[in-house]
Amino acid sequence: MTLPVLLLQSFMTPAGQPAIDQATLGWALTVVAILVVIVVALLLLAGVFRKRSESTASGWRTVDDARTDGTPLDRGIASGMRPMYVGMAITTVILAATFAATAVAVARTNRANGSANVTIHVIAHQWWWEARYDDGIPAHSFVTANELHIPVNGVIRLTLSSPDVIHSFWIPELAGKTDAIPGQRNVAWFQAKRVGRYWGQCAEYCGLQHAHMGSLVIADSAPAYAQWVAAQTNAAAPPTDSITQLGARVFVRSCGACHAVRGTEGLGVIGPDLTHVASRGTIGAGLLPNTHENLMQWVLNAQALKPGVQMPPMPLPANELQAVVRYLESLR
Amino acid sequence: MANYPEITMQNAAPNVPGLEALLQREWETPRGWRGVLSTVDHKIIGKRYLITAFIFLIIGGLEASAMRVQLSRANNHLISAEQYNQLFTVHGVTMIFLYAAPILSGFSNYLWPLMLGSRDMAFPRLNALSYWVYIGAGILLYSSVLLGAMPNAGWFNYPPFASRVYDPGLNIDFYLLGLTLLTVSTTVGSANFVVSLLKTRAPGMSINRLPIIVWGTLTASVSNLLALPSLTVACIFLFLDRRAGTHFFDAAGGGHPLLWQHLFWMFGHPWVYVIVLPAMGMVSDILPTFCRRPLVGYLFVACATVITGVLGFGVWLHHMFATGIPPLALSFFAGASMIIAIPSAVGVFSWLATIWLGRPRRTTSFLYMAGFVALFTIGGVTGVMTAAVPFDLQLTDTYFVVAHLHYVLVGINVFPVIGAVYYWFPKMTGKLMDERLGKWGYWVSFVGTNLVFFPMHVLGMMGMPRRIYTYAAEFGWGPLNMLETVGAFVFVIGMLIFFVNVFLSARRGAPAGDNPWDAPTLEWATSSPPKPYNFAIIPTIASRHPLWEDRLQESAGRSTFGNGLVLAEGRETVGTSVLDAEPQVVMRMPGDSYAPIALATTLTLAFFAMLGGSVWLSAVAFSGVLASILKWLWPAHRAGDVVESSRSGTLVMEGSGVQSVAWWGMVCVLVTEGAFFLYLLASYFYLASTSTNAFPTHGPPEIRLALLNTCILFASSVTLELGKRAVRRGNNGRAAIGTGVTILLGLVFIALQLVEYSGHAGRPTDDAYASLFFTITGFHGLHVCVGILMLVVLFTRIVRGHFSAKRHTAVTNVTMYWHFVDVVWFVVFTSLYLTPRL
Repeated sequence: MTLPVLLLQSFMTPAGQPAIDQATLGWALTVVAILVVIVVALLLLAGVFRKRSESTASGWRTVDDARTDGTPLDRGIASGMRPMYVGMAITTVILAATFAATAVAVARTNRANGSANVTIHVIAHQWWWEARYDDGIPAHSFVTANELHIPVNGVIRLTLSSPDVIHSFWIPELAGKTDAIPGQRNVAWFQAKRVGRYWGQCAEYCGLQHAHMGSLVIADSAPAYAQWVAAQTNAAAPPTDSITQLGARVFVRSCGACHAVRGTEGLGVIGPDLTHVASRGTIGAGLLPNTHENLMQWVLNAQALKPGVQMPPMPLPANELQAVVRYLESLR
Repeated sequence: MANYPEITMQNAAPNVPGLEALLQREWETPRGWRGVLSTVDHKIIGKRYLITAFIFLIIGGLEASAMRVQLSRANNHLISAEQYNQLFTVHGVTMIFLYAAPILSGFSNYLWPLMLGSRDMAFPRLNALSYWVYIGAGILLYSSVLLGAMPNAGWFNYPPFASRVYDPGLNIDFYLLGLTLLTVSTTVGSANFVVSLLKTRAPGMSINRLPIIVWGTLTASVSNLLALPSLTVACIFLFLDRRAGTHFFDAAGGGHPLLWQHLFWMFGHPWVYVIVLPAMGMVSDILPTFCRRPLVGYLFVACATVITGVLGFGVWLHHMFATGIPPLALSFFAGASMIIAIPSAVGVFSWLATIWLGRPRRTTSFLYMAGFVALFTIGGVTGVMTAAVPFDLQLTDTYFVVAHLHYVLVGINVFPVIGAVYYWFPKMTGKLMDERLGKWGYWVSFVGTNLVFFPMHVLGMMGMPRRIYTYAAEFGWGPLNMLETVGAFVFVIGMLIFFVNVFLSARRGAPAGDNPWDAPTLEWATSSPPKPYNFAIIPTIASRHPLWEDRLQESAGRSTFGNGLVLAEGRETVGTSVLDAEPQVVMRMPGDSYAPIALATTLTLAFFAMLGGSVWLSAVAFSGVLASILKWLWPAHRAGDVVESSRSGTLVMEGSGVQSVAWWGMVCVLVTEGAFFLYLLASYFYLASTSTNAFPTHGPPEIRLALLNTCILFASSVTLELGKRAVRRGNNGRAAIGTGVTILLGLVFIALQLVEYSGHAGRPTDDAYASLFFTITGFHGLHVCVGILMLVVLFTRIVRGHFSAKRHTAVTNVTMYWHFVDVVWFVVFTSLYLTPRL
């Protein structure tokens, strides 16, 4: 099933666990909430606008009637408690049911069924996501950023941490939020039930570019995922032509203090690891499609595209700019 | 109640000639600047609160409009990210702190004495102080505009983003100092409400006869006294982190960012009820008038109000579900948050039943109240949805929560407030507001509110997060955002119609008369507008609906208005007993005074000096604060000049102990101070539990000096107690000795504390443990110093013979304070010195 574009990032149309359990509870609560509002609104409208019988003999006497006929309002009629008891009883039953459903869902969503297939250490930065894939074997471990490939139906275990401020990791169609907090390591899990691309973004206000801290989870079929992992564990492809060779030199000189490309002297850890940057669909944490033109603009002056980002403007000569972008594009 | 008929007989004065002129002279606020700056009339202060809060509502509304324009379409760059972040922060701070609570204080200030049958609040000068400090805090916060450095970390201001590393400008300092200053205003105001309720009701206004707004404001005030210190502690910690290099929230230094969140929401959730319960009370009081019958289930609604306030302290964690909380705690706080819906439902069913069983007069005011019921229900059910943890992990920090909180705050605060203006405007001005314009304003506002806020539920469910200054077109959020922006301007037009109506009606509204709505409660027994003294003769109350007694069978007796206590020898009103409101004392009320504005001004300047980081300017300004307090508290006359009894026969003047308002005022101070130390120590134990390093860092602190100090402080309590008893026996010589020895012991305590500091292994900036140790003992030491200052004043006054066996309120109060500081030390000592050794 393909999703309509309007629901690109909606947790009401989940594609995996625990989002499915969360949405089931959510839909149920939404229906109950709408019914409650309708009932109260009808009672309110009827109470305000309904025609009252002119007879004052019934329970509808008011202080004006009491003044007219000189008989004080009777205490019993004046109190009118019965509808309140009924309403409160119904409310209590609804709330008890809601709590029961909530407690069950807490227990269901707390832990994954089965052990984790993949562990990813997600480290939130102002304003991008570092992802360290770790399956216990150093040779299989690698670092990427902002785009997380996962095997469909695999149980993914995340650890979340932050070296700067508080962020919150959120892929609406797969799982609710878990905060990434300095000084604390939180754990989350999810499991995609369908192959697909699932957008998310930071959900805890984290400063200037909180709006542009996107993330993308790509659920691949098992073979496609294995292929992707194999490609990611490789070091960067060495440059083959003169342009990319120049680009590689420029990269090490101008970019390598902050960015790493495994297999080169660029070993920086301030910005995202770019070893396979060309395999990613977007740049700037989901800000722009990863095209040649966008990459040029980004390298030249990222501040114009994402003001406040840590990446400084890089006023490179035209040939070097062209070369470094070509080099980055060769990092598949 | 059996014993006051003879009192009223003694004062029976149905037609005292010249009484009203006499009272008018006594109570009138002087004309011109003198009156503007020195008045303590609760009605004037109440109106000032209302007008000021409405100005902040307009400012906050303009900020919101700017944000709505920015969000109206995808990839909009009308406003920069930094501007947007400042706007949403200041919008929140303005609406929550500078509008929503003060507007309700305005109504309560204006209405309480009129509803309770008193001539003013228990502490009229504190009332003025509360207002002036509120103005000071507003000025302090908004002066950030001049530097282009408005707070920008959200109204919740989470560190580490709000720490100096990530937010180095003055932005956050404006926030921290502004809010701390505002807590002074709110605390003072809350204590005033609590004591006014306990002590200044008309005879017979027993607690089962209070209007619900009084229950609402009382609950809110008690919540404030207990919850605000949590915000104060959080702000002080963060300010120290930013300015002094402590490590409360710094994970690298052994602190924890979540400590801020616990402290903030411990305050924040009760505060939600602070800004809705009095408004819900207004609804419960206004609906019966227009439905022409008493409120259904008064007792239930009153209890539900109090219960909501109590439960409000047990749900703070539901703001933190995504921070990594164990499942059991998640379920517990989900349950607690849902249970709070039950007292809310009590209110809804009471209002529905009142409307259903009555014959509504569909005035503008009534429409706002009915609209409130609808909006409250929507805000309520979405509140339950966000309490369901698994679903909340999706909803939190999306526009769904923005929708929820605006239905709550606009629905439960703004709508009742405007309805209440339509209702009480005639009382305040003597003029009716225009009904035709009013109904237009209502429908436009109601439609606008729903247009702007309802689609936010859907946007939230479509995955739109909060606090983003722009968004990509691909997500499909554009059309609904445009609809919201249109709705926002419809709402603005509705509000404009209201403000225009206020201006037009104030100038040429139809005369209202004393009771235009034929309402049942006491304020409508006064003239419109009420005289400065409210009631020429203190009424005697016999039922919950004093003005409907001929039409209800509530009680055997009738309330009396033309026959009762006169109290016209100066500014006087009656002080009554706590539960049954039996007359006990004649309260001598202070006259107009410059002391409140002087204190507020010096205090605000001191906060500005701290903002500037100047120790010397701060010291100068704080000396000004001290001088203002001394001027305020120094008695205007010596004991010998005071009339010790009045014409009222069995009523004593002022009284002492539980009879006096001062005693209850001190109890309020100690309650809120106790809460302050509780939050300090809770922070200590929280960081002890989350610390991964040794805690305390260098082993338990050295105990011998502290043990000696404990003995010294206990001894000082004994000497002061002896001194107090000597005053009560009229033995001033012994009293002076007891007080003097206490001062000496206090000084020794401070000296030993300093010796201990100098020998301490760490410095406050070493790590979180050291920050806590020095801050907690430092604040206790500060309290000892304040106590010593009070004792010095007391000593001077004892020597000068200000006290007698019958007049010793100040001695009793200072003694109470000193014992409290003593008890606090015992708890601090146990926590900091003994528990690490266990």
